[in-house]
Amino acid sequence: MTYRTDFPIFRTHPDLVYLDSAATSQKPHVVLERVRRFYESENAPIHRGLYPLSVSASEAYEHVREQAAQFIGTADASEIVFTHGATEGLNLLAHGMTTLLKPGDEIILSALEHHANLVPWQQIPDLALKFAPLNAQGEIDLEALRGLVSDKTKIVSLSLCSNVLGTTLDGSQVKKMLHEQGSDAYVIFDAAQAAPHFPISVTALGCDFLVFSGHKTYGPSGTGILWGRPPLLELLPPYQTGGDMIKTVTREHTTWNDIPWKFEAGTPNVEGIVGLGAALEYMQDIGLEVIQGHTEKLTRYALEAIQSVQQVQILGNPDPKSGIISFTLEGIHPHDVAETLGEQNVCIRAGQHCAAPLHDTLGITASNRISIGLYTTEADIDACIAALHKTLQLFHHV
Amino acid sequence: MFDIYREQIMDRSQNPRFAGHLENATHSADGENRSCGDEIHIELQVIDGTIARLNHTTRACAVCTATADLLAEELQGKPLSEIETWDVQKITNLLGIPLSPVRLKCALLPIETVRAAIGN
Repeated sequence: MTYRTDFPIFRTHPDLVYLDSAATSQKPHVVLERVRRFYESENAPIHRGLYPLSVSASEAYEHVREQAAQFIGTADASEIVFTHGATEGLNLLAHGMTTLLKPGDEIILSALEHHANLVPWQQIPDLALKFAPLNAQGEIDLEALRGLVSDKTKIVSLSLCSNVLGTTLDGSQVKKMLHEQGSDAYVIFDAAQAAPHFPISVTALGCDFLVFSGHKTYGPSGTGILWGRPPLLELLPPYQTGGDMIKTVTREHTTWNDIPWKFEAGTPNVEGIVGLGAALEYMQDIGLEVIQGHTEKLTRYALEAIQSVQQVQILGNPDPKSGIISFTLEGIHPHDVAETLGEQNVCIRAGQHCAAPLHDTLGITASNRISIGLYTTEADIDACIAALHKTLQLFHHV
Repeated sequence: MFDIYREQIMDRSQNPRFAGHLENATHSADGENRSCGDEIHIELQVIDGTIARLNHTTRACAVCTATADLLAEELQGKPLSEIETWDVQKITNLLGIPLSPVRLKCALLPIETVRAAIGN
């Protein structure tokens, strides 16, 4: 089964080899059509118009909350907050949770976190940051994390899938381990790289909050999901204030709207969220298990192919279900690798992938990354390997 | 294809003439582009306001390394005031190729680091 024909960008660029899906995914026809249909026949302000067009726009927007809840294995749509992406979700949490902390409290992160799950926490005054190390495979070492837990540990925030190493975390073990240590720390999962590739259930994970980005799950840019347990969402103050997030306003005082709307100030990205709904439906129609199978098959194929290039050094031991492989090519700077591949129509990432501290830990200045999407084929991988050989010829004359 | 990797850039990045530690350096600085992973260390020996020698130690892409090496050759024997004349246009002319905004950052890192070294 090939999904490539679902993605119009490959009609525009038939020879495009797009291996940068971990940065952003291409968009299927159904998402583009849904956004177009919204603008052509449904566009109106939501939550405030009294005329039918506004009512149906509001219904379309709110319906995506139900789809998103179902997508992550929960029934209650009020637990779903729409954001601009995983980054905003984590900023919202860091901002809100500041009120739950006292000086000297600790948060445990890991050595592989994306800047989005590091920098917001650095901004909280008097919050001590601890970092769980990685094991030899490049996975978060949960036993080492256990040793970092203390009575000051208030938050544990981890990525379910590394955007660099492609290693994954069995999130269901985290809350269990914290309970064994007598800790009731809040658990946050960054599912930005997990959500596009394998099923997620917040019930099975046992976490308190989870975030992901819409643009990596085949939806429009500027969309994302924050899920939280309702009592905790009630506890958090609004992230932004203004229109639509209020219940009553006088000149002196304001009361907040109910969750989740108290976190959504101003006119939201309605068409984007409606498009995200179409993306989640597209993924569910294929089936998350089927998507996982596709990712695993292509990642295994890519791993074998890239390992055949003698000058390649793969970072960590990627989990095939992540669709992510990062590597360095002996004697050639990652920038030069990506540029020469780009000239051969092969799109891969170079740099630190918003994970500078991880690269410091690995003792490298940068790396290359290939990442897989639903439209990726074995021919894409073959083209990438051929392009890598050409790059080696150019630089090393081999 | 591979226009950017013309002979001069490949040659200067793979066989730099001004690479390595400089004994008797009077000025030095580190520079980096965190997002793309270019790292450079610049050392200068300045005698009576003249750049006697400039060396670079780079862990960087071909564009950054070649620019550093060509710049070192250009600046050798020149007065310190010469540094200020090296603007974007002059760097682009030195390489003789058009650069995308991302690669321009790589090409400008050496001169920015030279300025930082003199400032130190």
